[in-house]
Amino acid sequence: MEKAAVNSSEFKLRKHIRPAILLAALLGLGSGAAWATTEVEVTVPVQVFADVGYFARTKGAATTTSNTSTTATATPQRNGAFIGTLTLFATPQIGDHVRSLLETVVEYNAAGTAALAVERAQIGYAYNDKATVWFGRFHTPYGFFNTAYHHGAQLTPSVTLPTLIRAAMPAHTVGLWMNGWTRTGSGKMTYDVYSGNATRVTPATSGTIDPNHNAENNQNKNVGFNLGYNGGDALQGLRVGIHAFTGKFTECTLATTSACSTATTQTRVKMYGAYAHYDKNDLEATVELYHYKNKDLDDPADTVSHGSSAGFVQVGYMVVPDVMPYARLEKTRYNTADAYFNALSKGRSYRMDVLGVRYNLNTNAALKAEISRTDSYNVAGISPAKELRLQYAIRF
Amino acid sequence: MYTLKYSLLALSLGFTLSVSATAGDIYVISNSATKLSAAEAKDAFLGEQQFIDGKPLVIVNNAEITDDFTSKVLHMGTSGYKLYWVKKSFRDGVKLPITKSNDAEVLNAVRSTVGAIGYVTSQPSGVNIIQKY
Repeated sequence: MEKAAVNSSEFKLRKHIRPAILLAALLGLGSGAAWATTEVEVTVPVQVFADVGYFARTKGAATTTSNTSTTATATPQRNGAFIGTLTLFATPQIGDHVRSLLETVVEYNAAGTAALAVERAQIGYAYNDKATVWFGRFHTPYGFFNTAYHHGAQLTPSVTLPTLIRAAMPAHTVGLWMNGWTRTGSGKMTYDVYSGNATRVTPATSGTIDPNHNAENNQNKNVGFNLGYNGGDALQGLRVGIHAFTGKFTECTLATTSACSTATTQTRVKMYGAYAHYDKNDLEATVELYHYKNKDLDDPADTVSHGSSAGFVQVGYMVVPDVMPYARLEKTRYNTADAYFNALSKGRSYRMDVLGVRYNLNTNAALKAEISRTDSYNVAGISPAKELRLQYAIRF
Repeated sequence: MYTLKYSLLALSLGFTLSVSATAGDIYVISNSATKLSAAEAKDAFLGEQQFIDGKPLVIVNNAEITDDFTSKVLHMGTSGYKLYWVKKSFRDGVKLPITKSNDAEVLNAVRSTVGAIGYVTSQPSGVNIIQKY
């Protein structure tokens, strides 16, 4: 009887242990097989961009304090050397399909403080030419300039970039981006679609757009797209496209950027645009047009929207080898009732005329000289800002 | 074996202006297992096309005849070609070309690498000839 009971217990034990042992064995075997990986070769191309120069602003030039201000503040005269932007840029190629793009910049702001920033940190997978998916922080793919010439002074044709595409738009997105192209005759149709954390401004960001790196806090996502056409054959060098973007923008009142539970204003930003870029032989020309129809989310009646527009055109022509004069006209008309633009330090209506010349010392170094005149609108009797910039830019 | 290679872009590409630009024929070639058209090859040399049939392309430049190739096939100067790739890399993070010193090295690289395309000055064997210019 005792033996039978023991036997009964052992049977029960075996009944439970056997499957457990089998499972453990499978896990062991499975662990070994699951950790088998494909060896890949990794290459890490690295580039560095650096620039230095000289900057002068005329005495008496003025700037408005906000888009709704009708008075101006005299801008101090400035005259002296400057350190531009140091950009370290790497594009690790990890196997045949894994892509990555890592860019850090160091630059001094107008107050003379150096800031180190992760400009881009995107990791992607290129399935084929029709589809590459990126995740991380990237340059928002609206227009042409923002992705082509965001940093890297030696690459940009001019000393300055259009203010309107950098300071009044969400130039960076933290989220997901998919792009690709497909052949159409001799040309190509290109596409970009993206979605990312909604943006905000806080006292800590001093009127500049914060793309919300550490997960967003206003329960909305930015979404956008860019559809383009790259010409082929006789149209090689021509790129045209349209784009659109929408997202909820929050102006936060908190002193820190860790949370934004109290919003001063909230706006549904809706931006539409078109662009054209031509770069072939000795001519490089770009035109970008933007229109906004921003909705005031604080309006109880939910009926208030504000229209604004902005755009620029830049043309450069290489008159002799390595010498390219250029000109740019920028113009913005931001609605003074639009809380989005009013929250931005650069959300002011203006017109800017730029003339410059670029001289290529060699393929990796360029000298540039540029003069500009900026008229701020909504401000009467104020002399326009006139500035001179000399830049020496290298790449290695 | 996990291999990590670090390179400064400008130096590792090894782009050099060809001292003596040849005015002879140029044969655009591809690995025998890699089939693509002349238009696709041209797009590949411009960094637009990076895959063929789902497989990655490997662009092999020939330092001896870069001037002639970029002028005759891509209709741009070598300086413009180099800058074009820098801009492409900066914007899209594309895989960069490699550069070999002469026809023999280019041929060797194209023959031995699936997905490789390059250009040489004399009619080769053991590879696909995409187009003669």
